[in-house]
This record gives sequence, structure tokens and C-alpha cells, in this order.
Amino acid sequence: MTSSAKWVLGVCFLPMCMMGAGSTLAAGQTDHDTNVAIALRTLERLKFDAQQSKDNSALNAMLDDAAMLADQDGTLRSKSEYLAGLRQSNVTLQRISPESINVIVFEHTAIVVGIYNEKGIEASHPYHRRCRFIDTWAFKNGRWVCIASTATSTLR
Amino acid sequence: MTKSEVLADTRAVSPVEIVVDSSVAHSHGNVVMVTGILHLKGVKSGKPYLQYGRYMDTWLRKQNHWVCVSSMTTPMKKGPVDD
Repeated sequence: MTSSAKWVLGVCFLPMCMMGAGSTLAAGQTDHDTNVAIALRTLERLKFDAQQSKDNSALNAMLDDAAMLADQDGTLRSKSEYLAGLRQSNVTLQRISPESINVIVFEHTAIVVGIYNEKGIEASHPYHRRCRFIDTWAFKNGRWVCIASTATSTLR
Repeated sequence: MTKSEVLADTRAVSPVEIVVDSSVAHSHGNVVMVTGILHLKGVKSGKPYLQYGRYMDTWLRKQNHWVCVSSMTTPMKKGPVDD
């Protein structure tokens, strides 16, 4: 695969200020940004907890009605399709948890990028996935909602 | 990859053909989410290849310009239509 293909297939890019290991906010970001980042880290953890427990009510509150959700296989789902699929899924999700969460804030929009690990059973076979994810959050009607989510496997 | 890494990478590679399919955009005020499927055609070691990927980009309106603030592409086994 060419390096271009590596970029196109499976690699994300983000502003330079995101890339420092362990860094949450870049220099020049404000207290407001810091507070937003803390809130979104909490929301992300709650989102992972809700996914694990298939808590559709919690996910319904966190996801914008027009959210676009892309699985690690590239399948695109609307919010309603995603929530319905969570209930009907033949996958037993044993554990899904973030390994890293980084936030960059652009006033009323924020990008969250990180890595998560997922373990479960699918079609009677145990699986482990380690994925990079990007969630986009927007501040709407006085609260943060997730307007898009995408993930790709880090295991090649 | 950072922005500078992407730009350097783009300059360094051999030409590939990228076709965008099934593009969808949702606007949320000053932020627009764009997703679609890429068909990536190229040649490696003398052999042609065709790969598919789901991309999702976040575009933000800053100082009267639309700028891409994040992009991720997920490999897909197959595109929506067999080529």
C-alpha cells in the first residue's frame, strides 16, 4: 500500500495541537476550553458505559437526532438505526473502554479523538478490537450533543 | 497524522485516482459533517489495486472560510457497487 493509501485508508489527521502524547489542550486554549474538555471527557466515558450496558435512553440523550455514525467496518447509520441495532445486535459486548481521550475545542464545536478497546462475543467467537475513534460534539440548546462518530481498527 | 504530515505525504506519493461516492453532508450551523465512500485506485508493484473506505470529515466555518478540522477514513471490504 502506498503512503497515500495509508492516509486514505485508516488514518486520521487532526490539528497539530492534538498530537502531544497525553496532552489534552494546546497552548492558547482558554479556561472555557479546559472546562469543555473536562465535560466532554466525562460525556465520552458515559457514552462508552451506555454502549456497554446498551442503555439506549442515555445514548438517545447524548446523540443529536441528525447524528451520523460510522462503524469500524465503514457502515454508516443514522441515530435511529444505531439505537435499533444496539438492541437487536447478536454481539455480546463484554467490555468497551477508552484507552485515551483527547479533546480540542472550537467554541461551540469540539473534536474528541482517542483509542478504545472492545471485547465481546460475536457469532460464538470471542473478539478483541482496538480502534481509533473521532467523535464530533456540538453545543446545541444549552448542552453538548454528539453529531458524528467514526472509528477504525488500529489492528492491521 | 498532523496537517503538516498529511501535506508532506501527499507530495511524496505516486498519483492515485480517488473517486468519491455516496457523499452526504449534514449542517449544524457553523459545522458541517461530510461522509461518503472513497474508491481508491492505484498501482503497487506493477499490479493495480482498488480499495474502498468510508471517510468522515468535519468542516468548520472560521473567519469566513470553511476549514477541515478532522478527517478519518475507515477501510471497507467492498464498495456500495462492485466495480
